[in-house]
Amino acid sequence: MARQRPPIPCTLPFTYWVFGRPISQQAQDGKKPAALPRWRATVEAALLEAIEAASGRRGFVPFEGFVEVQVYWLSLDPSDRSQPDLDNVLKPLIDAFNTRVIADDGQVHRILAEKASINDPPAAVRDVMDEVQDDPLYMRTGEVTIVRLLDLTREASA
Amino acid sequence: MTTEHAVPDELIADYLRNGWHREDTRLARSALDFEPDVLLRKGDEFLVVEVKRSGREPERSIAEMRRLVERRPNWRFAVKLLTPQPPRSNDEIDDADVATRLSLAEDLLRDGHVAEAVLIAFIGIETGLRRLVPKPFTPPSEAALPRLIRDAYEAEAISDGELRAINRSCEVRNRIAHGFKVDVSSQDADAILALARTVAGKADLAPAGTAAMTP
Repeated sequence: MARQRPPIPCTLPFTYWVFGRPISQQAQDGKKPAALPRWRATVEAALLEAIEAASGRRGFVPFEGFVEVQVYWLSLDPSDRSQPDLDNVLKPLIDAFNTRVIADDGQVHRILAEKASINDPPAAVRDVMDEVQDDPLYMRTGEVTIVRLLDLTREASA
Repeated sequence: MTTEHAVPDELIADYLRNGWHREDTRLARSALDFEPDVLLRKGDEFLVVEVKRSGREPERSIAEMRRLVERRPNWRFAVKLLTPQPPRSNDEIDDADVATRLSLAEDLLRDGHVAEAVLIAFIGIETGLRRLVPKPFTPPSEAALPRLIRDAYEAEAISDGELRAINRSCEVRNRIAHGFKVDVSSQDADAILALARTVAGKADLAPAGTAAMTP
């Protein structure tokens, strides 16, 4: 049986993406939406896949400094009023990092979130768009959220 | 050519503003092993734009098309998505099919295949409900059965009695479909078949039958 190799230190920036329509944390009647647990599981699966790829299947020793989270939610019609509010979809995307990429989400000191057209993604995510588009789920869902974690400690020490 | 739709101008407007010109897509066919949806050129650079409808699998994967394009120097690849095709209200509904299936259910029942008859008869109920739910309600092809039943009732397409009968039939059908042992008599199945004929008849999918409301 192969010996499991130890996790490697997490270096930032780190990016993952999850396909499909994000689920709001907040339903209209104030209760958590029934689809939320499933969405959380989808997010976690996407993150774990990205960690496996980035760490060579070793996993990360969580980063311990202050971080910035960038969330880019790309859809066919960002102005569609039936979409959940952007602020209501952030928590599952950020919570998923806990203990896997960062030690605790208390390290998040800045959040940037943006809705944009999937046909005109922001410049900040163009470096991963080829990979995103090559996934069959891109065509199937027409919707993807790209989440990026950046090191703020470098900025603070600069 | 892979396009099954006209390419909306706005999808490539930015490229045209930035000095790209449209070329005949047939020029790329031999070079790429597929004919692109859009071929743009700026100087000696080429840009292939594939325009695909979200929710569908393209014949050839995006990754493969990208590889075929980008293996050539000065060729780039882009993909643009269109909104999914709205479901056509009659996509899944074939009048002749429904009538045929209801006849098949009748034959099965006559031959003693009670559970099978119920499953087939239920096609008439579900298809009829889909046809009966008006357009502002849930798109027919997306509606789960409980939602479909509720929508049909709220749209006053089915009566109180029919609602109760459909719900009871639905329970029987689900138990059969999911492999549970169900004690369903031929009288029950006959009532479900009659209900199916009534609902399908209301939706002009089959000759209306006489519904028994207590399956």
